[in-house]
Amino acid sequence: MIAVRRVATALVLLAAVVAAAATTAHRLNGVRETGRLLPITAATLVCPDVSGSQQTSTRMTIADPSGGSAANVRISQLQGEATTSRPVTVSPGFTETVTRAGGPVAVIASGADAAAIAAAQTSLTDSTKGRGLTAANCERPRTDWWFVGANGGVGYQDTLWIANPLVTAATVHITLLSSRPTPVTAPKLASIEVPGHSAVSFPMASVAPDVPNIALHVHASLGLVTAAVDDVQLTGITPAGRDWIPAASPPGEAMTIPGLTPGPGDKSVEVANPGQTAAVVHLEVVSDTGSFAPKGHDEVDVPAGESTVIDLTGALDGHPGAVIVMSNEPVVASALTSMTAGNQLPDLVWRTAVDPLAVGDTWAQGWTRQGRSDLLTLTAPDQAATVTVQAQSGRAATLTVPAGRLTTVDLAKTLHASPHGPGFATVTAVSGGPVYAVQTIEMAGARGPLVAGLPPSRPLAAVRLPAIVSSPGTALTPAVG
Amino acid sequence: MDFHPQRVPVTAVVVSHNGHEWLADCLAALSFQTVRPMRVVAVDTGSDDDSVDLLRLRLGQSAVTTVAEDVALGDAVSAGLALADSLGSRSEWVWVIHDDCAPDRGALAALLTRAEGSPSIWVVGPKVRDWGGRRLVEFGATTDRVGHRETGIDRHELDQGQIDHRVESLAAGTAGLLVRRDAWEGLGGFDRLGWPSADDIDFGWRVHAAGGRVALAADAIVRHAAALTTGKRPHTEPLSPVLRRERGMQVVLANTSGWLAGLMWVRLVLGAVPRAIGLLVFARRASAARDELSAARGVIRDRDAIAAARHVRRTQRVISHREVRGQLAGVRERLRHLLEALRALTASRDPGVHRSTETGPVDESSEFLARDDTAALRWLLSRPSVALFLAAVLVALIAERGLFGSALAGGSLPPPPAGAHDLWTSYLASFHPFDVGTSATSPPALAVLALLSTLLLGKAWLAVDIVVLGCVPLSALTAWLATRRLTPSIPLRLWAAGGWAVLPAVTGAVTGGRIDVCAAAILLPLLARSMIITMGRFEPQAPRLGRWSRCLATGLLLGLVTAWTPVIWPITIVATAVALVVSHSLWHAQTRWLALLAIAAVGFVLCLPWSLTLAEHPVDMLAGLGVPSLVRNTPLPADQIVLFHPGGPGQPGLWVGAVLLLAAVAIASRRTRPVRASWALLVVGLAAAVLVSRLHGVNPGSPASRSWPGVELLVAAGGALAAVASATSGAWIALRRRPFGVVQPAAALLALAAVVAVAWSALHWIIDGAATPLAPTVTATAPLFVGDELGTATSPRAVIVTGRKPVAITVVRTAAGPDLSTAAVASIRQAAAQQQAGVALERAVGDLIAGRPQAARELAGADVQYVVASGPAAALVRQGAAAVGGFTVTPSPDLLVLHARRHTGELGLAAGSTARGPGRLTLLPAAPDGSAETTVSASTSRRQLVLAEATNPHWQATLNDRPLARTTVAGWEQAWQVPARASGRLVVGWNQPSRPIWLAIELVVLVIVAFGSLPLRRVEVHRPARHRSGG
Repeated sequence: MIAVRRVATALVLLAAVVAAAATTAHRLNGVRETGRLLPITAATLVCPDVSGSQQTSTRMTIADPSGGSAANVRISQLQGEATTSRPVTVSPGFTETVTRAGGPVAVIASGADAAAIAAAQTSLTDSTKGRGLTAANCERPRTDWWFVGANGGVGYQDTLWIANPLVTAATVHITLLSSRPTPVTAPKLASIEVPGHSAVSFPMASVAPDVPNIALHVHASLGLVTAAVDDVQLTGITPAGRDWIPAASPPGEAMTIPGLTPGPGDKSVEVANPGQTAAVVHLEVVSDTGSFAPKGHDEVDVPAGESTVIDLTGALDGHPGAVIVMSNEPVVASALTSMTAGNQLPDLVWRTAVDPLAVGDTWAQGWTRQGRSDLLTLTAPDQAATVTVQAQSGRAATLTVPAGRLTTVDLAKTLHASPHGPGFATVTAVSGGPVYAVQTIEMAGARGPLVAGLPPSRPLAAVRLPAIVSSPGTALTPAVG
Repeated sequence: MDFHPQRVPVTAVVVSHNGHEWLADCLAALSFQTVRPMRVVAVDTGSDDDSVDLLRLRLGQSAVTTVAEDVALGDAVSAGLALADSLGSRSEWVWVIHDDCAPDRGALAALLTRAEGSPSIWVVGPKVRDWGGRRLVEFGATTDRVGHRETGIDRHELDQGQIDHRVESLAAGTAGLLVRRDAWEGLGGFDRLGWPSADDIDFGWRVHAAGGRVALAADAIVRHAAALTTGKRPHTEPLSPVLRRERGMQVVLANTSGWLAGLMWVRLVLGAVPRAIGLLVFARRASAARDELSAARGVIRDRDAIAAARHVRRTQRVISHREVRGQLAGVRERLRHLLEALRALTASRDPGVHRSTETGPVDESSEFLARDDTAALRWLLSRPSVALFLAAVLVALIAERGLFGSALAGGSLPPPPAGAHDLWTSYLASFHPFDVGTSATSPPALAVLALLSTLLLGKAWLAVDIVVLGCVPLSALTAWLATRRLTPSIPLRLWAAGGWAVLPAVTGAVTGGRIDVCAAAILLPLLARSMIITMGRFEPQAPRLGRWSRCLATGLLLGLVTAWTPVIWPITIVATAVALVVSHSLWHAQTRWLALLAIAAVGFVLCLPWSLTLAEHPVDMLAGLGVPSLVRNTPLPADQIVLFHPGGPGQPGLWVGAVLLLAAVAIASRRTRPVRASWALLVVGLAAAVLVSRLHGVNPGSPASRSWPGVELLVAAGGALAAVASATSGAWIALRRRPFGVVQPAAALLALAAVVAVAWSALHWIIDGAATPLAPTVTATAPLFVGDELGTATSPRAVIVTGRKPVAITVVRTAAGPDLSTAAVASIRQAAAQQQAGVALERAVGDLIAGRPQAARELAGADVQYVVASGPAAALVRQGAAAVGGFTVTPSPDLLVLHARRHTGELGLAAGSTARGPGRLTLLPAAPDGSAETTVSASTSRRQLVLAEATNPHWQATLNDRPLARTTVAGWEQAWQVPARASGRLVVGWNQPSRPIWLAIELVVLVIVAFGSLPLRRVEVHRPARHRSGG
């Protein structure tokens, strides 16, 4: 019995050790390296092409929706070594209209509010040549850009812009996909040196002649760049519309492209598969009447390394809509809507996938007035959502979207915006959702309707740096094999 | 043979006392002399054997007289001379013969020949050999200044004529001594005050002082048994060593010059204490130390006798002491003695020397037995320990296949430095110019490794290989030694030692390149064994001799293990205390507390000053010696801890630990002290492992880093092994007595499982191999061209960036990157300013990744010329660097290499205040350790000298030997103000005088502890020549 008691004592001791170990293990699991949270104190945006002419006026707007005036903003036209910058006052907005030749413009913000600074440009050309209303957000430089919808064929005058607003020279490699089964070779785009503070542009017709339905991947192996594609379409010699193709989200397996405008014009989705395996893509459309799978297009094969255009004109039948793209392989996609009215000249608007709306999302030219109507289309594919949008004036409006539907409101009217535009609109509250929102600018031109679209621009979040630890082992690489 | 020998004017006086054993030989030798003494008389000093009868038989009744037993040698000789005179034969010479000495046939002739024609030669001494006649005993004698008799002959030295060149000496032994009769009478013979062991020295000294000489005759050979000294003389106590020391001192005091006598007296008395300490600590002769002190006391006591003796000598002196002084033994002789003592010390521990097992008096020549070499080999191979070692070597060789090279590294093990010199340099230096520069205290493990490398002819890689790759066989061997204390059973010992060597923590330590745990695995069994022995010495019935030296030995071992794995220090103390309490051992002997305290103190002091920094930040004890593994987010699960698995590579299945634990639990039913103590070890080890694996942030700069609980689990598993090994044989007997039931098969099954578990652990390690992450070599991450640039005169730095979550960075200043000598110091907590430098650098890299413009300035300020990013970090850095600007990207395969455009030096002399803008920076060539020297010309503006090192008061800058006013730049950089018009020689350097002092203290403590920890010598080593003249 005594022996048994001794063994029991031993077991109790061991059990105590195990208990101590087990209880403490769980509690201490959460300790991990955390990096620094860096507030943004500097930001650079590039507006793709701020230039005008006698027929064209371009309007560049810089907005500081944070409300403060803590940002110190300078703008500079990227002209290589000749680049000079000038300060501008953004309190809370700044607009400049250009009617002379120009080019990409860098907006350099520094200070506490630099993260929130948003900028956009709109251009209006109502003559025959290059007719259209275009809009583009000014973007921050990064390493990778995707564009779907460019074209080097007859009837297109597309231009690819690449800008490097930073000091360091950038080396850019561009790969192209198209709806042709053969790989596209564009030697001029294989490796491009973009010096600091400068921009280059390439007419697609010359770098990829006769290549249809191009998807571009712009990759900076050194440095950071911004990229943009100006899409000009013609039917014969008649202008068929013009817009900037917004940068597509990086290859993904699910994306929502909102903002297909109502009306009789053509509507299509272009999907490109940059992977090595053929993708099977499912489409779903959300319109003001409900959501459905478009007949005949619910399942589309996109071969590896190719792009495919899917016509949705019939499926939407004049209704506004959003397209949800789901794929078994990562794909990139954009949507094109053409707006026509009778025999008048058409205009077009490009859309691409956007992230669900979040607080802080801003349209720098939230309303433009001066004969334009500024529509905000909100799509809530899954659940109903309520969104509060605030104007530059401080006036706010709360918009609701039913589940599986989309709603379009005239932002300027809703917000009772001042007739002296433009001004920004920013999202101050979002509940429910997810909800996807894009801006559409429409106006009645002398020769037909004019249209342009803008996704929201998102402020830079404070950067969470990875944890940085010192370790002498870093200097050693184990031998392989 | 000359049958008609010539008679010469010599009176031979034989003094006898119980010398029956030798007397016949002695008398025969006298009668066979080639030249015979005119008369032979004998004086017996109270023999109670048949000596007197023998003398009377051989010399005749009339030639023998007897005196009382306590009559001194000198008086006995004088009595003999008086007898000879009464017999009517007054001769020119007196020949003093002991009853235990036998002169060779030509001895007297040679003695007389030596004195022929030299009236100044008053005394002639023979060459004295031992009774066997081969070994030298004495040929002239002198004393050193503190009264040690000096013969200039090593112990057991064979006479090969090597000292025949000696012609004179201060004195000569009294056995066979030939003295002029008039000198004898003029000086009054040997001293009557009664210094029997030093009377010959005293006499010789007086001869010299009176103007005579003591000559030596190499051809006069006398065999002498030295019966009194060696205790062979029946019914006579040998002279006590303390008396001999006392006499030696008194002789010096009596004969030295007048004004020196007082000083000598003080020196002898006061010097006794350091001499005694020296004897105790270095010679390990406790009794000799005691004698030294007693002798000093005797000198104080007998000061009147000394004064009287001095009075007599003053009347006899004609020659000044200065002339006699040359005959005294000097420093050379003392050094020779020291070496001899050291040799004796090591020889007594040499297992190759077989001590004689005879108990009686033996011929000295038979004391050393020659070793039969082939028999020794056979004996060796039949030992289980050798078989175990060879098996472990085989297992290790197979498991470590492909790892044998000259630059073993990987896992936590950085590559070895080029040689022992680098290890020593890194250990001795107070400033280490790597990473951001550190003044952290080097761990003493570096010194241990450096010492090992030095012994291996400077091959640091070999030392690392021995510790890491040799860990399994060596730990098997040490565990084998330790198990002897646990069980007599050979199979159990083999199982326990083998089990120890392939514990998950041991194989894991080898495979993971954890050199500190490897060293601990080798040393821990020795520490445990030493601790058991020490605590055993403090049993009330144990002999008291040498318990404290045993404490020192255990403390030394503790210090040695602590040097590698400091966490073992508290664990040892706690585990020992708990083991003593639970085995009810502590209360028997309170001194055990003191012993444990002493052991802990020695271990602590040996690792100074490193142990002080650890005491300040105890969590640093867990950091480990090599490259810290970056992040281990989850603490070790409970089951792994309790089953002795520390995690990581090189681990067998958990069931192996389960078997061991089960066996330990089963054996807990045995109530023996070893089982209780072992269980104490097991529980303390496990508790420590739980604690250690739950702490985080053990590596400075990595908040989530955790310690690898290998050492703690070694202790725990060692406890389990010890419990099972110590009690199993007893348990087996108990099981046999029980009626057969379910218990016996279960026990058999468990025993089988235990054997299989050990075998499987070895096999698993063999199959898995030890080659990941350990590798035969690693390469520097920085490409060669960066390395080339780093070697330039301005010593720029490169930041290496790898990983993503987290991003790991380090600074390199050499092409090769860190090695063991630098990484070992880098893992130690740094001073606040240096930590700030590290933080500043991390911030700079963070800003670079974030693309903040200040990154360029921050990196330039830290003198970073290259940023090398590899793996996922490359993408991060690329993105950021583009936004920062100021870098050029240098193409390199698989790496992103940024080259800072602006050149900065280690030492920048910048114009203006804190500005270090481009164009205003002058580069100064500086050595890698930050020291620089240059000439500065005058300027119109105030300037600032900026050193890209963390601020530290040990950095010093002088302009024309005048110190400059110091200041701090960027929150961490050391800078100095250089006045506007100042010009001249500018010197910058690191100066920390406390480090050498600490090192000296450490060395002294180490030497004292090392000598003090050697076992005390119980048998006094007699100098053969130190004997009573009346032998």
